[in-house]
Amino acid sequence: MKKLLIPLITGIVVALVLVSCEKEEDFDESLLVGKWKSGQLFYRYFINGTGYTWDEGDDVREDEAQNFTWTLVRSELTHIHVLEIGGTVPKVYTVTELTLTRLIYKDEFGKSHSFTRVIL
Amino acid sequence: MRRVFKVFYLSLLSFLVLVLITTGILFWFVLPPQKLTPIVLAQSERYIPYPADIGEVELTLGTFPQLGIKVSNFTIISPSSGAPCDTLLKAGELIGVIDFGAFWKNREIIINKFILSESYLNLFTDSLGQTNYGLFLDELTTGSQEPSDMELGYISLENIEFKNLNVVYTDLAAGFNTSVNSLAAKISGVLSGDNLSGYINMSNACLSFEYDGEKYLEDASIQINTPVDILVSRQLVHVKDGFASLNGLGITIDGSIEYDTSRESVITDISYQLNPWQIEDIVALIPPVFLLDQGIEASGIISSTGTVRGIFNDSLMPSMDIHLALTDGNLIYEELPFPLSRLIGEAHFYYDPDNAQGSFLSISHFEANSPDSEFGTHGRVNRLFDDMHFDLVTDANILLDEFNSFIPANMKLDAGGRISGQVKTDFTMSQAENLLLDKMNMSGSVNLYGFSMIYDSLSMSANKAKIDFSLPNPGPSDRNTGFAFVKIASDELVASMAESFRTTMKNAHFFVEMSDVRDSTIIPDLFCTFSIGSLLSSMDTLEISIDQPLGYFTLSHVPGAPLQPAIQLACNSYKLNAIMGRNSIQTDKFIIKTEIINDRGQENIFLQWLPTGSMELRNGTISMPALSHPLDISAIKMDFDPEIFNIHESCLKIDRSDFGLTGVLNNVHSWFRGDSLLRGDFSFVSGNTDLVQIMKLTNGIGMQDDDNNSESLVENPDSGPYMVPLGIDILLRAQIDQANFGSDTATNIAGDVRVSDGVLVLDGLTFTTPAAGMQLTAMYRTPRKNHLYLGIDYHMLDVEISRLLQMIPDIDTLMPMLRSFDGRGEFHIAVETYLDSLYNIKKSTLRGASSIRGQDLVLMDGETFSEIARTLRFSKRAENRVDSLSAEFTIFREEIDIYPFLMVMDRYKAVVAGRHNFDMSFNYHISLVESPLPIRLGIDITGTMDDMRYRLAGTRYAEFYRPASRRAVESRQLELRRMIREALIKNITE
Repeated sequence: MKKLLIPLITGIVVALVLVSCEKEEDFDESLLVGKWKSGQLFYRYFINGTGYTWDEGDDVREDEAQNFTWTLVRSELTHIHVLEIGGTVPKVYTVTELTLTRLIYKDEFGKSHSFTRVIL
Repeated sequence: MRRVFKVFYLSLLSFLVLVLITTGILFWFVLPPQKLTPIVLAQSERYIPYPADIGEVELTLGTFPQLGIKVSNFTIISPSSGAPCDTLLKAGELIGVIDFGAFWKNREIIINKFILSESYLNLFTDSLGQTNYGLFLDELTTGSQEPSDMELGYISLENIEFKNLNVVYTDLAAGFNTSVNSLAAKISGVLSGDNLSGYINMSNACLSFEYDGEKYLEDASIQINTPVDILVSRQLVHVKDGFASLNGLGITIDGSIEYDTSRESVITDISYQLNPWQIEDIVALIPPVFLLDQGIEASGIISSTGTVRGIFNDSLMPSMDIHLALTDGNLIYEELPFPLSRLIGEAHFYYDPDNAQGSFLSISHFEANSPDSEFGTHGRVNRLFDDMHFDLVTDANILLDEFNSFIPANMKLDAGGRISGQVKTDFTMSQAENLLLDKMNMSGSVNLYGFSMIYDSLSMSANKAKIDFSLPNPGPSDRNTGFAFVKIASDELVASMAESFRTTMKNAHFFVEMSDVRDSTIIPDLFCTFSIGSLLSSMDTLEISIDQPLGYFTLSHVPGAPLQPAIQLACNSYKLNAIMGRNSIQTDKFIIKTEIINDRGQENIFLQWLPTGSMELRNGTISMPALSHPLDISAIKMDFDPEIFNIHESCLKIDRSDFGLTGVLNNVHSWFRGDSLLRGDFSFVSGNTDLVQIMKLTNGIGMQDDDNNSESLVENPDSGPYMVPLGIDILLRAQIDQANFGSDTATNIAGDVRVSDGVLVLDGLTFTTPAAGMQLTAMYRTPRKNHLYLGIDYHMLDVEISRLLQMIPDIDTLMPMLRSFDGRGEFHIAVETYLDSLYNIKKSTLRGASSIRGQDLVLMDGETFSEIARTLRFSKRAENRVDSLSAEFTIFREEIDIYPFLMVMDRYKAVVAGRHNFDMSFNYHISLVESPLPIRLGIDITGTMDDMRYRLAGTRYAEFYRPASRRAVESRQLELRRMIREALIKNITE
């Protein structure tokens, strides 16, 4: 039991230390505005906090894209997808990189999404 | 006439000269003929200006004081160039007896006898007008100027006789040649001054007359038997009951004829009576030049009486009052395809030159027959010499086949059958010439038997029909339909055009009134009522039969728009059957009443006709390939106008679906014109509805082929996805007892179904299924065939979870753990996605949010429960029951996020959260927040159902239900849950 307890406590302590040392970054939301692409999946963010997304792989055109609202608070990027029929689908991500050309965020399950800006 | 008098005078004068000469000689020299003849001959040279020769002169002494001579072979020679011969007169024998005593005492000349036998008189005028008897005329003229004590004041002619007198008169200047041969006549009378009054009996004469090389008469037999008064100075002949005949054509004459030299006119005052004349004899008298053509054979008897009074010259006609009769007439004329027989007629001709307007021909009757036809007419023709006015009544019984040869071949018209009836006509010649039908009066009633007519490719036939007609319409029902009326009754009327259409009507009755249909500047007014026993019509693939159609049809023009037609139609019929290809409709009763106005401003022919009216249909059935089953129509009753269809009553049934539809359809015309949506507001009441069938009925209405790969939905509605009709906005206020959608059944459905310009919305529909009472709001939008929007807002307040999974199998995909539960719960879900043409979900577009609540749920899988119970050391009394469940989850693309929720089971409380992916992998975390264990444990469960991995972990949601100590992350999760649930349940209506 002791053999188990020591590594367990050690692990917990290490974990706590690591978590507590994680520093949350601030990202400039203005960098988010624009059109981003990942494969055939597109996102377009507008400065007013709205946006839409579409996937050309599913034969969806930009004029048929679905709307969402977004907020970026420090590194927490929240998409609220509003259903036409009523109802909302919130999606919360943590931005890990946001530059003029690159956007990377991940969800709480560790799934990462990477985009590049579409420059016309 | 004047020349006849000259001849007569010439003969008479010659005779008197001879008598006076002879008488003088008698008294002075009583000599025998041998001595007398040279003396007379010598003396005659003093009075006869031409060379003469006398065979013998013999005194004949009768009762004193009658004194006579007999002259034989008396000849006067007057050669003239071009004359038939040099002889002017050759008298074989001339006997003359006068009353010498009367002459001696009273200076009266009484010719007791004058007989001229075997004589020849040759009168000739050459082309310059010089005659061979001119010197006689000169003598007469000269003699009359010289004073004479022997004046012919009174001459009594007791017996003047001509025997075999032959007269030839040739006038080259006038161009005629006349001869009278074998003339035998007796004349008696008195010549007083220039008045000859006596009696003429011409028993025989053969008259020939040739003018301008044309023979008008040749040896025509003439007979005259008449008293006569002749006033020579006026060239007046008066006849009293005189009789004359020419070639046996006799005429009785009473009256006078006078030649007025000053006006070169003949003045007549004659009444006559023709003895019956054979037409053949008349025709024989007509010079060939005046006969129409060869090939005419006419026979019959003509008789006539009448009067002719007045002046006749080049410009004037005498008044005539003539009765003419024809009997037993026959006519064969090669231009006629058939002979005419039994020609009978009687007419009265009247002409008054002082009142030409009053002239007329009155036909008492005229009848004629052909081998298979007969006709007759009677009436009157007025104003014969002006604009003739016909007022006739004609009866006919005609076999049309006889008259086909009259129709020009280029008309391609052929008629057969028999027409009988009567036609009345009242019109003028000018009206007929100018086809002024509106001024003419025509009416009649005719019967058709076995009638058939073929005109080009159009044919019509009637076994038996009656047609009454009238121009103008004597009793118009409208002030504009006074032009004509036609009434048609037929036991069977067939009309067809080649192979394009054929219509058969039995017991058909039409009554038609109309305005002048020839006026091309205005749409004619027409009013037609009809009653038809049965109608059968076919055109191409369309066949229609109607029993007892009854109604009316009117045609007029739109006020202020003379060329825009306006139509009214009212029809009431039984048993209507129509088949067009594989489409058919049958009804027991069909009533329509409509007014249709034409709008020529529209290019689309459908938009040009604007109907207003009502329609009623009972017990009908419609079969179409687009319908999997016949559509039974118990009743439809509706009003309509170009914009609005108002369905008052409808009761329909198709297979298992029955429904009644009432309400209003708006903007119909505007929708066809493309100006507006077609809007409808209907109440849809049904006992049972098969939703799939109803959707097929409306699939693709108004769709355009905007996708390259799209097919024509109208032609094949079963192919491809259901496309919501475009351009319409229809609201169905549904009340359905039971509805089937595939294998699913719902009852007590109430709510609105709206189809709005490509969007189908089920708005707040409440219904009951075996699983639960439900509320559904759904939207189905079809912007294009491979991009179909489906949104569902679904609320089940007390649902059997197992039935829920049966009803919506996709829920199992979204929340697979539900398969492990049984019991009743509360379920809300809002989900939307786009589908491709095969109804496959486009996962990138999938969004959804759901909330589920449950109490006392039973774990279905005992093995799973045992595993959990053994691992967590449940008490032995623990049931496989979840005390409560309250969860929200969202769907985004291929991710299903289960937000942390508390689950209570036995002595345990656990918070569960995680993610489930569409590839059936998952990542769950369970935090045990309350348990018999001294520590709080968490379990991470990852992998797939086939490769599930457990890992102990820290309790991620240890304080989840302790707000005071709740961490920021937990608060965020609760906020999101609340946002999801509140957005979901706000649409619940109860």
